[in-house]
Amino acid sequence: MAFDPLALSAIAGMALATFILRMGGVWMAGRKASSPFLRTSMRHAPGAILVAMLAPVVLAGGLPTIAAAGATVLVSRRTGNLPVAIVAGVVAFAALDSVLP
Amino acid sequence: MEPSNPSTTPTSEAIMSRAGLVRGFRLAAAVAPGVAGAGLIYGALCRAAAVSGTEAALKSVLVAAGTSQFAVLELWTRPVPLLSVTVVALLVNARYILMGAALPTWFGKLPPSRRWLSAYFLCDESWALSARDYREGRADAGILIGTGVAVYISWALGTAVGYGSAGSLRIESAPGLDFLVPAALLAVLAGFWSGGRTALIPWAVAGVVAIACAHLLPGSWYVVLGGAAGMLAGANADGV
Repeated sequence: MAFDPLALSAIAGMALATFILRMGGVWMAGRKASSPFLRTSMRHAPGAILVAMLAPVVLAGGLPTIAAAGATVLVSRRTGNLPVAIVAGVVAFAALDSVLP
Repeated sequence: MEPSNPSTTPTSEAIMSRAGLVRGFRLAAAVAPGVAGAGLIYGALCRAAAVSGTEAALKSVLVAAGTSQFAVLELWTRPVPLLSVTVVALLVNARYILMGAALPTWFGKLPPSRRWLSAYFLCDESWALSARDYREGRADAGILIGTGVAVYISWALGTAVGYGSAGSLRIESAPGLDFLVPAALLAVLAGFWSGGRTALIPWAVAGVVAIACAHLLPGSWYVVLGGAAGMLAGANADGV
């Protein structure tokens, strides 16, 4: 099997960069700002970050993704059951993706 | 990985329990097929792109960040552009900073080894699926780590099987599988909705800023900037 030192260095570079980002974040978790404004903003973090993560992806997927996202959210709200909501979303996506252009 | 026995450490907070690890594992069951499926495709693409088996395995085990691994596939020519792939990893994984910072404060009080473990197993899925428990005040790093370990194993095994069977595998995902991880994240997000103007404003701002930034900036900066904008808008709407 090929053993390419440059490739291994590149993998090490990626691994190190990624771990530093992960570690930096966890390190920051313990050092929350004392300012009330920043502390309140942290309360909004999970929702805001998830919306930011999902909105461009859902929009880019077009009508099937948008509709399936709506179905997932609706079922999750109605049932409060994660696996049920996920299955509903995936089934909706599979169905819509084969029907819609 | 050996879960430590909390009864041997008489300190007050049970901050990484076996029960938490098990709970994390079970939370991850919902997304594991999607992650393994993505790993399968990744492994097969690595083989097609003339990435060696060792390299593909090392990337999934050491980098363990799918989006960035997919992103550098196109760049993986010989000689491998060391600086470019490292910069791409930094750009694509920048969101981990904000996600880590948003973890509960007690993560900072964990013993260093457990903080390192938490960081290593921090990924989109483990962070999102454990977020609900952490909002409800469960102080147990095991939930994040357990979810992360299950996702990690799915990803690594998927990569190995995909690489090994690339010749016989038709690269075509099962219908709907592409939507499995987004669906899990959406289902978690829906549970966070508290209604009213103070809930709508941060989400609307986060969404609009992220969509705009996704067109303008490389990597995952749209998550960082959209998330940060939403957080600040939320605090502003709360009138702090």
